[in-house]
Amino acid sequence: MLISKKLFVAFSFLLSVAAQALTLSDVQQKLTAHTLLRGEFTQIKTMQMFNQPLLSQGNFLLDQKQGLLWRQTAPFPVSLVLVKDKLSQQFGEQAAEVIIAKDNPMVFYFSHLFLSLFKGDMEGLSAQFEMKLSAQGEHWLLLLIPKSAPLNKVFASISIAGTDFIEQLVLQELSGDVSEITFSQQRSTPNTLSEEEQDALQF
Amino acid sequence: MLCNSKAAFLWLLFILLAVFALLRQTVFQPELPIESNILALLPENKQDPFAQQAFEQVSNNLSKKMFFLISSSDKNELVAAASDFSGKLLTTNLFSEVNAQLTTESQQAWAKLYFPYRAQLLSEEQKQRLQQAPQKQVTKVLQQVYNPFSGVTGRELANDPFLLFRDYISSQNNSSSSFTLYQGYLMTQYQGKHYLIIRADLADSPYNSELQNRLPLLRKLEESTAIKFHVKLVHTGTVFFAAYGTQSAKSEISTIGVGSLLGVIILLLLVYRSALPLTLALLSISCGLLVAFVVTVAVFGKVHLFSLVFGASLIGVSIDYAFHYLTERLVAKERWQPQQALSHIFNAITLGLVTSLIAYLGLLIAPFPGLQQLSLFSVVGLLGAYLTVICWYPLLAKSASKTAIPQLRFISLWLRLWQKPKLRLVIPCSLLLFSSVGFYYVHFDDDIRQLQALPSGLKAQDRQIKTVTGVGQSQQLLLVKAADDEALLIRLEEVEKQLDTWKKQGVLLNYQSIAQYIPSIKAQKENFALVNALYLSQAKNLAAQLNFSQPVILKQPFTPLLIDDYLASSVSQPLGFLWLDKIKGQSSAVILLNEIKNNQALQSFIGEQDDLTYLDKADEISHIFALYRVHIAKLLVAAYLLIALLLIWRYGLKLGFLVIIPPVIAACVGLAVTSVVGIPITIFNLLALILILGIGIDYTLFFAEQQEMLQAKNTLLAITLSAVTTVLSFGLLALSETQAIHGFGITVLTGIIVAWLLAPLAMIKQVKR
Repeated sequence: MLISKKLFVAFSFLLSVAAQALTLSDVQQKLTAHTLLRGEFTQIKTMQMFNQPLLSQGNFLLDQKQGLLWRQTAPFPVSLVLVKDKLSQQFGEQAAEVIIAKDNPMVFYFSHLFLSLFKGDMEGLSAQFEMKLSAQGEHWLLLLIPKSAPLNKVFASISIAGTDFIEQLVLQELSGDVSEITFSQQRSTPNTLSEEEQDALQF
Repeated sequence: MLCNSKAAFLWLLFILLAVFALLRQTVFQPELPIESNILALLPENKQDPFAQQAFEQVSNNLSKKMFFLISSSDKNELVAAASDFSGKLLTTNLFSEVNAQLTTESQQAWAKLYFPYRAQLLSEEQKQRLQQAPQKQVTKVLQQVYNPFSGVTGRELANDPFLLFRDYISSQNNSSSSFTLYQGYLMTQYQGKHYLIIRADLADSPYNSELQNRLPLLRKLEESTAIKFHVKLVHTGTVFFAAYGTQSAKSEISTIGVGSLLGVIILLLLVYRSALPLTLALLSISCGLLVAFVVTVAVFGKVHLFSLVFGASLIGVSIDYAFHYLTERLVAKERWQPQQALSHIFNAITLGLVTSLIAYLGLLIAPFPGLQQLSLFSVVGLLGAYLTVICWYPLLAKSASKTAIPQLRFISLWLRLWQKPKLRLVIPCSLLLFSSVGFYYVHFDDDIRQLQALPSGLKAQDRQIKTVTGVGQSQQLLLVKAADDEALLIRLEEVEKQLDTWKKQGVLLNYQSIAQYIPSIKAQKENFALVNALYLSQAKNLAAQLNFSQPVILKQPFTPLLIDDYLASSVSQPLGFLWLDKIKGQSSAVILLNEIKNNQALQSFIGEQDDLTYLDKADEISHIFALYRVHIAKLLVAAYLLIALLLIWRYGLKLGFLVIIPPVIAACVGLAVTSVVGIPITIFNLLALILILGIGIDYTLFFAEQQEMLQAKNTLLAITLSAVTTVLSFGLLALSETQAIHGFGITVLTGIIVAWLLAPLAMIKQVKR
């Protein structure tokens, strides 16, 4: 018994060392390890304004180099493409609307933040947030508390959870409203873009 | 004769008074009475008080603005540099305000001002949507609510269910800049580099010399920041150009002043080889400058640097009277009688003074503060030097000269050359011929910008800031007038529509108008009606689509957002100065125009509207310059004619003609040479002709006034000395970096040389061998 207790203590010690050893750069490495990441998403917006949470679903493609393809399939089809300094929105079969960062810095402020969350751009985030990293097993949770305006006037916190892949993104507003995006079926293969994806990213 | 001990005493009293006045004007004042603002040289626009106010308010405001642009490839390094640099900027005491990191309050000032009026504010695009297809606004809301990148929050949706305000604010931002906030700093990206802008307001006028003296501190600070944080730093602002102008004017004054003074001293020592002449000459120069400075300050309040630059060259002119007297003394030796010598030259130097005064007084008539000052400075300076010579010299130069007369071989040779009738005809005629060829190259350019030498380093920084930020110093203003505030805003909105069209057509790059930030009440009412209609027709649709827990209703009633609300908010700080104070109950405002590509389209449009006035100070002044160039040309001809009449009355037709013709030819050659070397002729070259007339006639007068031929050598010696000093001082002006002064120097230089060459033409008696 004594031995097993000792073993347990040693084991849990080891565990906590392992947990503490997980650093921001490890998380960043995990998030950037896959040059191409595909998956499904479910977004739930719970707001006082709505009688029921607002639900939407779709799939996404993150290309570390080029940007993010965000295709909502329900409740209505929207295709959003976010690259470095451009954002394209296409609703159903309508012609795509392109916004250029230079023309509309306000829109891009938030879009860029979203992209840095997704890509785990720790350097960019650390300038704007207090960061707390916790881990258990292979699961980690990064809690971001905004330091400065305008973000701290709106968000109480933003959190990113994941393993090898990003699993969940939660935006907690000061008002109590919450937006939650959960990812599933993440995969890093195939590791080349299909022709159609390539076209979508280049506009 | 004027000259006795009483006159000397009176003049001494006057000089002492002037010294006392000088002390009061300089030592006992907090600041030297020296003006460096080039605009102070120029006449005010008296016909249009609106234009005058517009110009003053805008230039006062813009001239105090400064921009620093820091660049780096690393965003966080940039922030660290900006925070360190902006903190230290305030310690230089140069600025009343430094805007680097926007405070939370200033970030929210926009929203705070506009948010309560959100149902009255629409962008052009929103207006069209609400008019044509209000249901599209609902689709837009849906898309944005679902879109995770849009950042729509619950609170925003509750306050503005149709999400109209965010688009309005971003359209506002859109029209003003491409900057985003990063940790409270305004940043932008350009060619892969990050740029951060810091704006600052000067604590005082950029022309304040004390402020300019503190600029090296700023330079050091910039350098240390650049090294410490590995960033690049550029700056722009009127103060840098103003400081450069002051600096170069100061160094030019000292070069010219010291140069001509040294020339005078060396000449005096070489020719007279004794201390007394040197002391006397310096005495008359300093009395002249002293009186000129004191009187100019008394009349104008301040002396402009520009007058001083020209004034410094006065040294070379006022010395002439001294040279004639001292040469008399040199030649007379033991036969020296101080009082009698004065009566020998009295007629000649008095006539010389009168003709110079006629020439300078012509300038006083021109309603141009700069020229008036220059004229007053010169007239008083010459009078001072003249009075010193006639009142004091006979008393101070009692002893005879013991120095041998310098070898005058070349002078005799030159004089003998002029005995040959052929040469007397050939030299002037060939010079005239050359002039007429030179006139072929004459071209006029009245652009005032020639008066400012702009250093290329500063210009490059200014250009870089313009390309990266779109912030530039605009010189072109459009003044709009209307009966009251509301009428003015409505009119501004109309003009903006035209300007927007022009922007698309490339007539101009951009513009800033206050009505872009504060719509007229009429427009606000129209917007409110549209928004109200949107709520009435689409509220149910929206509530159903998003399953709202509360009904969508327009809560806030119409309350006008007034221009005074805008002006009272900190939001108006960058552009509030565009709104002018009322004049006689009439409202007016200014629109800043940036980089006009097609001036003609603009001018013809403005010309058709009574309530619009195009203001371009540089253009306006250039136009006035052109006007006065013609004006002065006429005055010049009048002055020459007047002097010619005076001379003919005194000397008869032939000698009178011979006295006036050398300066006339000299003036022609001066202009011709300036044109041939490719310098455009401006008002300043005509001023040079006035000088050539004033000085050149002195030379010929002495030849005409001499009683015996023996004097010819003395005269030529004296005028040679004076020509050498004049050429020295104006030759140094030709080194000026400012093109206008450079051209002035060249004209005077060549003119004086020719006037000296031709002066013996006025000598009609034979020189004894």
